[in-house]
Amino acid sequence: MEAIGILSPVALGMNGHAVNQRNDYFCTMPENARLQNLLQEDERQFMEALFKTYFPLVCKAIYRLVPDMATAEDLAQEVFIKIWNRRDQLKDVYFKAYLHRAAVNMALDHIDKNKRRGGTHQEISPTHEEAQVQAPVIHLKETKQRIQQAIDLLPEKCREIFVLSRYEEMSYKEIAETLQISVKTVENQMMTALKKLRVSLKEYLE
Amino acid sequence: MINNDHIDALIAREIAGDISTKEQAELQAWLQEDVSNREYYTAMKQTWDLTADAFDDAPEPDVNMNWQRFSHQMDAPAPLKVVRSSKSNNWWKLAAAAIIIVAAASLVFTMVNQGGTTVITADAGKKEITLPDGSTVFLNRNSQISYKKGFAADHRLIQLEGEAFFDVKPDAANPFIVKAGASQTQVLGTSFVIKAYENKTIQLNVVTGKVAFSGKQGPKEALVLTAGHTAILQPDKEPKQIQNSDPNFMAWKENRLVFDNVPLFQTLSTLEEYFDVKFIVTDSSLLNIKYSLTGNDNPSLPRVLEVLSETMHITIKEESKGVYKVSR
Repeated sequence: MEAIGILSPVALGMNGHAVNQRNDYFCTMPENARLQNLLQEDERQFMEALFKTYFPLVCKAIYRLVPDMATAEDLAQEVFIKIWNRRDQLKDVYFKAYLHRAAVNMALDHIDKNKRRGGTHQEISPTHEEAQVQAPVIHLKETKQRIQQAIDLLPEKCREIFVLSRYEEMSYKEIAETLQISVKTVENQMMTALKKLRVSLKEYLE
Repeated sequence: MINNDHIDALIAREIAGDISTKEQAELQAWLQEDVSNREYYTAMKQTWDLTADAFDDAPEPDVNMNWQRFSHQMDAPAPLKVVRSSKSNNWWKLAAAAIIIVAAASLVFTMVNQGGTTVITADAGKKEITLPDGSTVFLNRNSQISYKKGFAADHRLIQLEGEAFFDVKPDAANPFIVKAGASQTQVLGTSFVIKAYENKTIQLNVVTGKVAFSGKQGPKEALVLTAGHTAILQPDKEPKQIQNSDPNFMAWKENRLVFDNVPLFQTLSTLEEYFDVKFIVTDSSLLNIKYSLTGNDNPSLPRVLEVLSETMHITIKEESKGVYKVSR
């Protein structure tokens, strides 16, 4: 049995074109060409170069959806395992976009599985996070942390949609397709997210 | 108060830069209508802007450590689902005792003296040896140590291949040095553990005492490690200290396994090494399920697998000799 594919055929067919009109996906062509060359010449070297170039990107994208670094690292490892297993099918792939999308899918899969298993989202204890959001703010760094916590505290679907739009730079249409919901729902949830964040982050917005 | 789904949709599109010219004009017209409209829009827009760099301080993953973990898995038979196959993925604790490992496979436990060099090997079984200076060596399977004539009298230099635990007799005048691969470990205190396979990352765990760990640059550039600390030496690099969280680094010596809320892949890796078996996991979603188990007093493989399957509701079936398939 094959493992549940995070790299669904949809993601696989997406050799960059579907998403690279967005700035974040611009992969320097020389870099991609270099990786493609390596892939032909030496699979192991290719894998090492790919891993070392994009592991942080993959890991951080997952972390934004699954805010626990240890779990994010485990999932990022899985993304690269799947890439390695598909190394003979990567010929026309635009690696940065491909990996980013694989990371997002992996994180969403993880959230779904956790939920089905009884929702033991052990990484986040809401009461704990809530308590931290109440803490007084002094530094910029703390501000960022508290904004991140406020995002983590959004209802699950709302949070997923917000993160995908805000940080993963996916269009509403892409988000709708990924989550198998309507564009209208995505837009509704985006506004719900903004309204909730506005309340929880009120003191930074006055 | 504004509660207009259509306007909300326009704002959502505008904010995300996903709006048509026509929609943009419509939104502008609405904004002109009333100051409260503009306030509402501004509030949403400001909130969006505020969140721009919320994740800038996200922790940085350690790419080298992750690559190391990953590259061990690459050696598994395809398709890659086995979490690990290489023995060099172990974590070493260095302390008042030392374990050193280098890739080597030899016969059953033997001790030969060839031209002034004493070679001690352990194949199928583990062996405990007392060296001429009174230090104790515990050799794991497939491991070998050797030392030259004059050991204890005018030097205490040991060459290691494979995995071993050293409990070193203190002798400040005659330092105890273990060479394994490109690494050199000098006992400053009492004991330590080293593991080194050819061309692989060498790991050292200090259990008690103090050790100097060096690579190609030699002892002058040595990393001094104290009890409870771990260091690695990657091929062609210098030693570096890392965090070690594997409580089973001496499991083979202590006949004891401890898994405290670790993901399944880690458990399986440890079991592969401990029992000299292989696991094939076809459903990668299993790999990260956390799990706790303690097996004291020489736990048997069937018993461990039984407990594992019951607790995690998984099936573990022996497919061929020493190869187990793990599935839901």
